[in-house]
Amino acid sequence: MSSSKTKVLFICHNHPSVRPGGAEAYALELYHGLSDSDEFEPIFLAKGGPPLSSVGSSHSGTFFSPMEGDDQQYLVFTDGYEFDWLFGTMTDKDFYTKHFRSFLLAHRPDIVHFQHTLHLGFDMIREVRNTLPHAPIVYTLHEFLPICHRQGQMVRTVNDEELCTHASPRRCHECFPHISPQTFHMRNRFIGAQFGLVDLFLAPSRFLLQRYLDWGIPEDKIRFEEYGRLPVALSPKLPADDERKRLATRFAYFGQLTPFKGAHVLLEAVQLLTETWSSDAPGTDLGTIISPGHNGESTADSLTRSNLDVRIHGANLDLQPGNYQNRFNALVEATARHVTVMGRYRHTDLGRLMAQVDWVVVPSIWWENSPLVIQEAFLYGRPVICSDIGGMAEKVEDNVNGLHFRTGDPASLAAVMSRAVNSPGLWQWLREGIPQIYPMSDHIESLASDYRRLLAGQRGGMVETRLDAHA
Amino acid sequence: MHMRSNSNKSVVLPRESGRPSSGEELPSPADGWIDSACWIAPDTVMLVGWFHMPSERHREHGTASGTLACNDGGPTSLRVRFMSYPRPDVPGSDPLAGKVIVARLLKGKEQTSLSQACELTLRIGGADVRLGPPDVMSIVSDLKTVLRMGLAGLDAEWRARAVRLLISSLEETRPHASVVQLARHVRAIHAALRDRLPASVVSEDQPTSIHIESLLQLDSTSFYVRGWKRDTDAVATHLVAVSPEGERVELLNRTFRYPRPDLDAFYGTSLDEGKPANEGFLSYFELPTPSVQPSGWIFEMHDAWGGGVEFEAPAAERNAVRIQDTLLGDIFHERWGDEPLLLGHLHPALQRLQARNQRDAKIETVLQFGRPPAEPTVSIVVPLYQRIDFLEQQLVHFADDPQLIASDLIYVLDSPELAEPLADIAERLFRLYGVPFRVALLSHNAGFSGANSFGASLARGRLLLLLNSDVLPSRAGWLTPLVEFYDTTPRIGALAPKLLYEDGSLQHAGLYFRREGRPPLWNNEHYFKGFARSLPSANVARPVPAVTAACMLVDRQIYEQVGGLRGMYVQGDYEDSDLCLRLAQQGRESWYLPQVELFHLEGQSYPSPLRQLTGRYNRWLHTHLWDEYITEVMTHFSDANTAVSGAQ
Repeated sequence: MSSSKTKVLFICHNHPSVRPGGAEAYALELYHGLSDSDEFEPIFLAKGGPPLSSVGSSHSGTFFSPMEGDDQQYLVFTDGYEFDWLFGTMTDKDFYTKHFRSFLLAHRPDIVHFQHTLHLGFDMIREVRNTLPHAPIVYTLHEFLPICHRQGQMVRTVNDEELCTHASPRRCHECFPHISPQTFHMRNRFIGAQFGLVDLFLAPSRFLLQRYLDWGIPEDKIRFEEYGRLPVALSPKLPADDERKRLATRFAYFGQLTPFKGAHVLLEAVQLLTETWSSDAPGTDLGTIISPGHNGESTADSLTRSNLDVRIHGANLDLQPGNYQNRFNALVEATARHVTVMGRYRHTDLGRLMAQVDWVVVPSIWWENSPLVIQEAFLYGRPVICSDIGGMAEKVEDNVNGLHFRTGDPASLAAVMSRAVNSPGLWQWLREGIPQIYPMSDHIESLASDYRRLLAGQRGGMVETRLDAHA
Repeated sequence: MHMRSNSNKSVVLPRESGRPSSGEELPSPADGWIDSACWIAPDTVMLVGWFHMPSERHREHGTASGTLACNDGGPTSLRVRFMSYPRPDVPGSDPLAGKVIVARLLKGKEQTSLSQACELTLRIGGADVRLGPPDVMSIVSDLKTVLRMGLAGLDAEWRARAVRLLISSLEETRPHASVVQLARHVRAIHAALRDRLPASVVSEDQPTSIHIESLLQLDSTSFYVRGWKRDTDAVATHLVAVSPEGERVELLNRTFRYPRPDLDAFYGTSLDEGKPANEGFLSYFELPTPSVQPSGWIFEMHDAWGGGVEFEAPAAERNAVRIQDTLLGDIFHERWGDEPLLLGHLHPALQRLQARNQRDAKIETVLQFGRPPAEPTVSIVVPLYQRIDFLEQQLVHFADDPQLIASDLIYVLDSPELAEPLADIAERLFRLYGVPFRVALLSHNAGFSGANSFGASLARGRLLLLLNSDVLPSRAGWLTPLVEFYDTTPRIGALAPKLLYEDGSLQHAGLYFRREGRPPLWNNEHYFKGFARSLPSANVARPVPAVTAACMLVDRQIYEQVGGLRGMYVQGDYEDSDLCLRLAQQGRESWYLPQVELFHLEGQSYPSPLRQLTGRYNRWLHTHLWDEYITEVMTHFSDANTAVSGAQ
């Protein structure tokens, strides 16, 4: 079925129907958005099988399988191929030179747009360039994996989970003493060499953009481009009088329960609040900071033990390190009076779930890029309370459409939560400050102009990268 | 029968063999008779009997040719060695009519190719000597019988000569299986015929002891022994190493000796008149003939009173790595000043070991990936040792560099156990990166010099670039500037660029020599090592005393002319400076070019005791070979990390 449409191949590390996740959900939305276009014909290729799914390839001799119901969506399986997590490459290059190549030759996309190469390998880029020398290559950066071996979080394993500002062979070796500085140099250069073949990088936050500029991506090869979101039916508004009378005392966390996402910080903040309320000494420092003059009695205009309502919507606690699971569960038990663990949620439930709360808390202890949950909170009209770093601090303006607290500091979060409730009119003020979310249609238009520009030959030949070995 | 008995044995001569008793006429046409025989290798037979020499009647030993004429089939040619000994029972005036003969079948014939009924004829001094019985094969028996019948009764002197005869037959080139079997039989014969001394006993009340701690076999004719001796009662006059095959080497006055306070403590002795009672000894020695049996070495210690003791040494160590470690460990005992241990023992031993390693290794296969460039200017040789992941890391960068793709790239695998995984991964990497290259697989580990030399032997380019596997370019386009600088610099020998550690600091900016330590030895040092890559002094292109072989460009013909990397040093250090000094002797300078930068991802290696000893030997050898010349060279260079003139 040849068509005159421009074929765009999206490559992703996971398909949301296999296991839910933010970046992959966005990627699929982008694919659907582009499917409606007259000019472009997208293909979606996602890695399936273990470890995210228990079932791998069912047909011997092929590593591909179309998704049911859509011939333009494929799963690619890596059964029998070993992935080197440090360098981000398949140890057996046949995966690229035999299998991936056959896919490329069969479909011949005009453009290849990488969303993720995790568990597929950076060599995919090399193989695209080898097999389709004229196809522009676009790469959207979702986190810092090329820079940071700690799951791309840029949080150190030393100095008490210190936030990391830059990588170097020595610093990375400090975080991973069993991996030599020379190996980190090679990792960096390896990824850099493959990246040298990419024509355009997209950064969903200015924060992430700057990090990659610091790392060495040339300025003329990367630009800022926010995630576009599909329109949603806005949450049913609370009756206006309820808005005026009710205190906004309901807080919710949405997301995976990984240590880096900091749900434990929220629980610790709740713990601090309850300790203050049950303490007999009214003049404690914490009490002074949190609620001047208040000591937990039931009043109608402040956050108290009787109205604090915290909900944890999230999944995958069972995939986290054991000691984190224990710590989390202990905190949940200690704060059971105020905290409800709601468990897994479907993306389609988000509107309803967010309508039932006042605040969305994003307490990540890593920098974050452009958290989709922030966009969703804004889509559904909920102000955001978040850590004061990275992409979070960029997307949420303090005292305009949300509130910042000191990253990783439960006392700071507890104080902000109190202030959030106790300050009259604050919630309404912040709600009104919520910006328009970048529509998917605009996003697609922006990408389309990139695609056209690149196809028009402004790609140029092989550009030498300036990626240096040390920061 | 009238016989003179020899020592305490009498030889019974059975009539049934048809052998003439004294007084009887010899049955013609035989000129002699074989009493007993046995096969001692598939192609070699030992015969004991007698004949009269056609001329030079008292000749004690000699060589000859001969034939075995068998009933069916043509005559089989022989090469013969023989030795004479007294046979008073044989009539005639020749006192040494007895003969021990070792006959080797020629033209690949073996015992199995002979039929029955063969007549033996020797040709000595132009004359034929026919030996009975007419069918000599009929009296072939086993070794025990031959020894019992023929040789065991002889005096010690004649027995020793018989052993010597057999040892000399080991000298000939023969198929390996034949060598092993022959050696085994020679050993058995030697063991049966030799005079045994009392075994050495180690106990507090024993005044005399010899003990061997280890025996290292460097190659088939050179050894190194480590042991100790105690000779408080009677001073030792001989210390003899006796090979399993019976070769004897006198060691006493050539060993290196050192005190053994641990033995003094055990025996409770103290120095008596200044002469130590217990001494450790170390000795390198060579054999005139090859020895292939690791077990069965005896060490004898004879004293001034005619007595002695012997000790059966442990099986000889043959593993090259363990031998090297032991030899290097013994440097600890050296007396600095005239260095007798190194000069007389460790150095020759280590050199023999290096030579053996190099002889063993050869190129087994060369794999070609992609189409090689037609007329490359540069051949790049990269040894791979113990790690093959560097191949991928280099190809990633070479793939984006047209200058590299046009070069003749040769990888040499110096770890044979990785041959299969490398061949496998090389193929797949080629399909992904498309850089043409060759891989030479070696049969044995050849060491740094050996691997580079093999690579150089395959090279086709005018220029040779030696490159370590852990060197990565910092950017594409680094090779042409190196080549251009080389081609436009007169009298240049070796050229190396700036090399950086993984964090961008200086790893190499030229080598110089510094003499230090007790005793003072020449060390190799890197200018400005560890400092920032932007240091002005490190950014001046200039001639230097030497450069590193981690990335070294040299004209291939000149490289071969001066002998390439020599392979004398242990673990490959100092090979580069050694080459640069030889180039300097030919009037060719070493140059440093900082405008080209690459990363040398050298890991940290904490100085282990063994590394220190390796360094000690290398520095000693370096100084031993080059002391005067380096002194002269360094008068032309500043030898410290001082600022270089011309630097901004």
